[in-house]
Amino acid sequence: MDDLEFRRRISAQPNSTDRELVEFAEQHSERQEFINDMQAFDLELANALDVPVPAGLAERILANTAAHAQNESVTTEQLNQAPADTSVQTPPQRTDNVVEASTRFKRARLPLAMAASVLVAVGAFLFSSEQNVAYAAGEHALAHVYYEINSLQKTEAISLATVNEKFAVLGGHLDELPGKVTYLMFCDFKGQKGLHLVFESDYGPMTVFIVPSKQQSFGIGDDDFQDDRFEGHINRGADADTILVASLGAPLENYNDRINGAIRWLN
Amino acid sequence: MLGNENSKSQVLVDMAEKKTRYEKLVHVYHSELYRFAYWLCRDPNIAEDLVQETFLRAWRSLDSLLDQKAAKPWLLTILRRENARRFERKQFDYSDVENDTLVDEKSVTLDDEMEQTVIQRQIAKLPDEYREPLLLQVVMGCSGEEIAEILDLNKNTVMTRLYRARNQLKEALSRDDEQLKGASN
Repeated sequence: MDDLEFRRRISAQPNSTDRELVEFAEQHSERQEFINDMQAFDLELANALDVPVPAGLAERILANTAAHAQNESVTTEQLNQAPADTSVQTPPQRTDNVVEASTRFKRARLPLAMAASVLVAVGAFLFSSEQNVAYAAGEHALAHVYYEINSLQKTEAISLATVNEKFAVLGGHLDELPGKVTYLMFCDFKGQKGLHLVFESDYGPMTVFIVPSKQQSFGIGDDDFQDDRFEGHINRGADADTILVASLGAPLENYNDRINGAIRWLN
Repeated sequence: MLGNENSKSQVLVDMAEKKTRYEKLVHVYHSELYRFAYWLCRDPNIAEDLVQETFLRAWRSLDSLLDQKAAKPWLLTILRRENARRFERKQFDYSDVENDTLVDEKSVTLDDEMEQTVIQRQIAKLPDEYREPLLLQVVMGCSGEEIAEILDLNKNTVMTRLYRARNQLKEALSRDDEQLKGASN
């Protein structure tokens, strides 16, 4: 590799952890500086692209889907009903068309109405829960961890300054973290923007969500939660809820105290 | 009749599972997808429509998503297709980049705000072929392989475009800087 190729590759992927690139950079401080510059530029880009997401978008999407799902189910029922209906039509020589039409109407209408009402009920049951935050907070936190499960495999260190640059957007500051931060993202927690970070601990990677509490995104459910892989604790504060998720068996309380003791709010 | 009842309850269970999967997808990806859509069309309303339509299509074909890990490229592919359809249906007027109004609710200092607007304007000016891989990388956190898959390009092409995108941005921004300095002298 020469310097030109090095620069091209870093420009394409400033956060690359490719061993070849890292070793090449270590040979020269200028190269390391180039990486730092490009990473700083990338952070500027990320911030510029970070346009606000309209409040309640997730809820509107789910409501929209629920409405369509109901309509489509009913329409399908109607379509299914139609051929069956014509096949049992009485012969055309019948003259009493009015009576015929009304019996057909009754026969077809009842199952269709039942099917429609059942589907509407199912749809309402399935989707209404969303509005009422029926998701317990712990379940929500675990789902988030699983969806970004790759975040637990990152190893590259993110400086506390970088963390605080993002955290400042939410009005907070972290004095320290109990380990090397390896993942840092703004995430959406039921319409509330929060910080999602992962740090390395003696007990494996731990996830921390810091979510401003004004929308009560983690309002319902037990403070402690677990499944067969992770366990977690929700610390509900005046400014924000702090959720810590660690592998089963980690001394959660200890880490929890350290993290919550290190958070300061700037207003 | 009993069998019928069982199959009905199975349908309900399947439906509930599908709904849980779907809700998770919506919660995890809607923000990123919105931002990506916003930068494709630069209009908050169209961006929201695109995201709505994307998730609606995702719901209808959720069964075809076998591997949850593939959810992100899958959703992005749907969204890009929706965006392309928008042009087939109607040729929208492009909003003038200079007149773009970005509402930023975050409290940032004036300097930061100015700097950000300059960057935003330059990102908007990038040719699509450079902007899109950059958005996928920075906004969506996609890897080179994922970008290649979504855009149907080979990985080397993706890398070259990412390199050029950043290079062009840097050059344009330093030109802006010089102009600003020139103006203040």
